[in-house]
Amino acid sequence: MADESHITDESFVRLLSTYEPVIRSFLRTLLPSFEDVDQVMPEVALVAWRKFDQLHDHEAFPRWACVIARYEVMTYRRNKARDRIVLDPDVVAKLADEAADDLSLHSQQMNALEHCLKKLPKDRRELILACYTPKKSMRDIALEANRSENSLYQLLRRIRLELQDCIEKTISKESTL
Amino acid sequence: MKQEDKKRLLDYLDGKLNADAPVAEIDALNELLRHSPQARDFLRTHANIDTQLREIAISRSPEKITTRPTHSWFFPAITSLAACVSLWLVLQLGKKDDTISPTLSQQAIDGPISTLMETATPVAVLKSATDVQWSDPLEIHPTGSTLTAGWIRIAQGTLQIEFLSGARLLVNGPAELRLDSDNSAYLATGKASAYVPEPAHGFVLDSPGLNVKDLGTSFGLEVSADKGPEVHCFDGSVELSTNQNQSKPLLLPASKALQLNGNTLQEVPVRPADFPNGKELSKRASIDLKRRLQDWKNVNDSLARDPNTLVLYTFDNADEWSRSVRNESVATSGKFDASIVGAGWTGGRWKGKSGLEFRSRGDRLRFTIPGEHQHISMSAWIRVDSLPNDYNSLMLPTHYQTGSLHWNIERGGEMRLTQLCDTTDPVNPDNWNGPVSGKGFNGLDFGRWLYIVTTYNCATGEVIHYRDGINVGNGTFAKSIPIAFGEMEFGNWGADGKSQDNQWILGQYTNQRVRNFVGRLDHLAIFSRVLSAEEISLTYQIGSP
Repeated sequence: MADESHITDESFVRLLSTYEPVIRSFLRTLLPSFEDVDQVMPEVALVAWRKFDQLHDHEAFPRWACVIARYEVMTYRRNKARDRIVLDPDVVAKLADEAADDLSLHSQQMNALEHCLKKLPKDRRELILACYTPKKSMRDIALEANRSENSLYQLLRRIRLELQDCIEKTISKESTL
Repeated sequence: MKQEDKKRLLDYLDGKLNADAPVAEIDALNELLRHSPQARDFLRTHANIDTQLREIAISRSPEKITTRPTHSWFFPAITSLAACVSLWLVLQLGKKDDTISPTLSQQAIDGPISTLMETATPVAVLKSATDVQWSDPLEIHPTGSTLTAGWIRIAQGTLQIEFLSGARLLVNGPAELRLDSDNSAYLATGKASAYVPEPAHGFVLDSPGLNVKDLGTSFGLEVSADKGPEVHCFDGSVELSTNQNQSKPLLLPASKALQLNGNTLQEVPVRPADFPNGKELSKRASIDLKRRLQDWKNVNDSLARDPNTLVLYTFDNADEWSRSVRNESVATSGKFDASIVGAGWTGGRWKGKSGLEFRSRGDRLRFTIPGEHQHISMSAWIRVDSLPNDYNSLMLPTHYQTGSLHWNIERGGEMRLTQLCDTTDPVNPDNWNGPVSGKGFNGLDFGRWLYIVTTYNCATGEVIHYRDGINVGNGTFAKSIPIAFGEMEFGNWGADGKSQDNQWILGQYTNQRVRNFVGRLDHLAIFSRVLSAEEISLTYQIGSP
């Protein structure tokens, strides 16, 4: 028995470690900030762990975990009484299904992002990563960069669109290395 | 997609379009996401970008350990000590090198080039084929191969088949045997001895008109055209049924034999000596092995004398403690010896033949081949034990250099050749020849020896991949660039996705960076000419275990 539970533990950790970025990305489509994602992700992991023995097909893990994530987002928002859910349930369901279907694309995008990030001019790369560093406020970064906070947001958005464009081009070319 | 739609989606993602926004705005967002797959793709892509940028930012942050409790929140859920220990080990492994991998997950996700391997259900393993002549040259089963349900036909010789249930069958040719499941078969013609250990009790061997079910025993079955099938029980007992009396099976005790004559079963003298047995097979196998080793030695001698042989590593005549492999080519004798890094000496295709085992992340065989070449053939006898990486190195250059060849096996089993044409931007696919791919392996090939060859003619651009002597894929390189090897590695990739000045080219976090080969190698030869299909087929037939 001890051996079996040991194997189950390992399987669970492996699956969760593998698909955590997918679940986080999915949560990000439903939640307005990373702080929210960081709050909900542990809950998703705990619920998934408690129910793991009910999952017989491990290949279905990402889809199953996204379903748990949907419910945890609803619970989170209800408990926090922060706001209503902006997206309708059918839209959330579509996003969850497609997130689980797009594992290969997710991986491709992640690989392409590294490449595209490198192609950015150094100052832009440093700036965008600074904006994503926790505990750094946009106001401080704007001050350091001698910009207004609003123009920093605008620039950030432009860089993200550039990255998206680069990722799409990189994937469409397909790596031949 | 319209600019205003993009803006709406980014506003939503940035928290600007939230529950406080006008209802019409929220409705418009929902309508957009409901009906537009492009909008959902856009949102998902930006959420991915956001998430990944944050992971990268965290991994660079000096506060990364305390910033986000990446994994520590698993622990409250784990109750058993063993579970905690195992989790701790896994997590520590994942955390060990944050500079390379910010999360375990990025390494664990399968790469984009993966394709599913098609595999039929295995039912048995061919343990040996002694003095065997196959009835159809296109239906050869190499020793060690996994067998699926279907026919096996031999004109002569003896097969030793182990069913996955544990039942063992020796079959003397000429014979036609159909494997039906992991514990049943049908002998259409030939002589077979079955040895059935306890876990396989119930093993069924059918024949035309007579069905034999084991009850814990060893028995023989003979099926020939000139008389009815005979079953001989050597030990234990077997249950017999004929097509006529299926409802009343007959018990045949030890040291008894029956023959089906028309519709009736008649007792005949039991003749164990007429059936294949392990002891006699072992003797014949030993003689057969000597003959085949001699044949293979003759092949190696002719390969060594070929003036176009650049390197020939046979892995024979080596001391166990040796960390170098001699180049046996006469033309380049004394040069191009290879160094073993990490890999260990092990058994090769045959008993008494040596090879190298590649198992760990750092294992490799290093050698240098200078100069430029217009034609090339690369051949190897390998045993693939698993394909853990997106690309699993067969032979790769230690550095990115113009003209160098990248010979890989993809995770999905495809053999793949590419050539770097311009080192200024190795990430740009336009700077590469290929890929030309060939159907290489499926799941049933793991653990068995295979002969793989890839040829490239620079003048015509033609690339051909061969597996076990058969063309499994060919194509053409667009640019005519002479082949340059330089410092090479079998089984690994010294470049590791980095340029010569140690800059990441492929990216730190990509699945394509790690390329260690997992398996064995007992023959590697590179020629500065294109081997013909006939030569390759002949070498395979003589060298096949």
